[in-house]
Amino acid sequence: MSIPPLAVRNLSVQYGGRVALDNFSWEAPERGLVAIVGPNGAGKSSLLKALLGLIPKASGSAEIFGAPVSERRDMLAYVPQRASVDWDFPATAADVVAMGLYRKIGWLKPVRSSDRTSARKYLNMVRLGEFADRQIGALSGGQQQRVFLARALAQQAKLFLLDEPFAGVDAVTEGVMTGVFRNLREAGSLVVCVHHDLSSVKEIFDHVVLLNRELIASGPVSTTFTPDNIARTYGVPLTLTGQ
Amino acid sequence: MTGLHPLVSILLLQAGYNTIVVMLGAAALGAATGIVGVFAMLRRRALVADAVAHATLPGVALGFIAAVALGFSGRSLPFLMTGAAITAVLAALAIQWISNRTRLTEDTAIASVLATFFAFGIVLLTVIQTLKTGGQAGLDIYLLGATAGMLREEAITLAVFSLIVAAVVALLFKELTLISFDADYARAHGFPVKLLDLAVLGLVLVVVVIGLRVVGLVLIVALLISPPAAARFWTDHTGRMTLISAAIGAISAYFGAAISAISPDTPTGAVIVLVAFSILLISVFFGSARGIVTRAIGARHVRRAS
Repeated sequence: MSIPPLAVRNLSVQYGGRVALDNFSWEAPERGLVAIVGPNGAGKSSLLKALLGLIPKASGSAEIFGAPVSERRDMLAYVPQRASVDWDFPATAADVVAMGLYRKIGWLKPVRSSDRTSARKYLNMVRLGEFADRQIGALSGGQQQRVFLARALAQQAKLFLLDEPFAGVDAVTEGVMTGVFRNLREAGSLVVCVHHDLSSVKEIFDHVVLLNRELIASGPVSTTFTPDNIARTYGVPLTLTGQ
Repeated sequence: MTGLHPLVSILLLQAGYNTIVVMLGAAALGAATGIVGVFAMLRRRALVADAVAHATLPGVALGFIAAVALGFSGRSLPFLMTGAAITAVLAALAIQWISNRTRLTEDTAIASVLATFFAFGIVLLTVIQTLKTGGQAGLDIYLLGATAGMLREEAITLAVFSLIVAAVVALLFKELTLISFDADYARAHGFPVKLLDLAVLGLVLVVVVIGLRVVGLVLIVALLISPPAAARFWTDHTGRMTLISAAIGAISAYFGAAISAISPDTPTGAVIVLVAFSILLISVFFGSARGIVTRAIGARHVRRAS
């Protein structure tokens, strides 16, 4: 079991000549909750998008459980930023969660009632059972984020890649999501979150990747998430509240 | 038939056999555009669809010229439709190329391609008027559509293509819904988003080309977009929205064909679009899911209850 769930090698990303990510290499731990932390424009989202092939890589590669990402798509679940979709779309919470089952259902086949039942099960896991039939635009921001998480759970993946799942969510959602992540860790999964809130890193995550266009430091939160490393990442000394 | 207004008797399928077939063919076309229109709208391809439709004009004209040159009748449908499809594809490629390879935005690309292809078509039509071949008088029906003089075979062809379009959408329904809602997620999980987008564009192309005869290239985008826009006010489900949109498209085209049967000089496309727009207007106000009036009443109920 020495094959890491996620390994990134020498990954670089460029936007019209500007370097968004420079020669990033990182091997993820076998399981656990990882925060990717860094200032705005540090290349956090670009890292996820480039390794998934959503934006072009300038160089480098990524492997999931020892094989190229394109061969391991059924082992990963990606949760994009909530703001990246139009929530006015004609779909209910259960419809969106069922999208997590589409690969399993397969081409040319319709969504069956057994799939809808299982979508409800995943909505219950994020405590949105009673909102299954609500149009997604009528949900709060935190509830929408939980719908996205439930869709990822439906994929029964081993590796979860989430882009800012805690951005702008309420306390209930934060609690529910943290609980779900811990269950996933117990089940042996790896959860990687792009994260913006330094004050909650210690409380939620056990590994951290400090990033500012290049890798600054990575490792267990207890030894890596030090004021020194944070200062090197952000370029200025920061005081953390609650320390 | 005595006693009934002529429009009513036509709508009730009491006109001649040919009229009935033409009306049903038009209704099938309306249903197909309503179905494809849902994804043209949700995937935000309405403007591309309009440009592609306008870009069929030079194709129709070139098809006419090619047919005449080869000794066929200038109005031979296979020539006109093939020509229309070719220039429409060229327009779609031009839009893609301009927005990918230059620093111009997509809407700029769409507007310039639409106008340029349409202008080229108008010039070709003028050239055709000067030819001494005959038959060119009928070409203007492709601008605004006409069901008058439409043959039974044409109507049956319409129905067959509409059925194929509906079947393709039914088979790809969940994937088309997925890329319309969250393309990044679909791409990350290995769905061929580019191919599916191409399928949407291909379906748009098919309904535009087969719809030229009935609705005309200037107005067909309205038959693509008004039915799904109206349907959205009645439901929050993509599946139900597609069925409602198909029904609205079918009803609009059916009415248009019926009115054309009474007054053959009225452009069918214009009538169809006006009917579709009336349904959209009613839906905006009274739609059961999100109509303005429906919501206001709902809000008042909530206020009273609390």
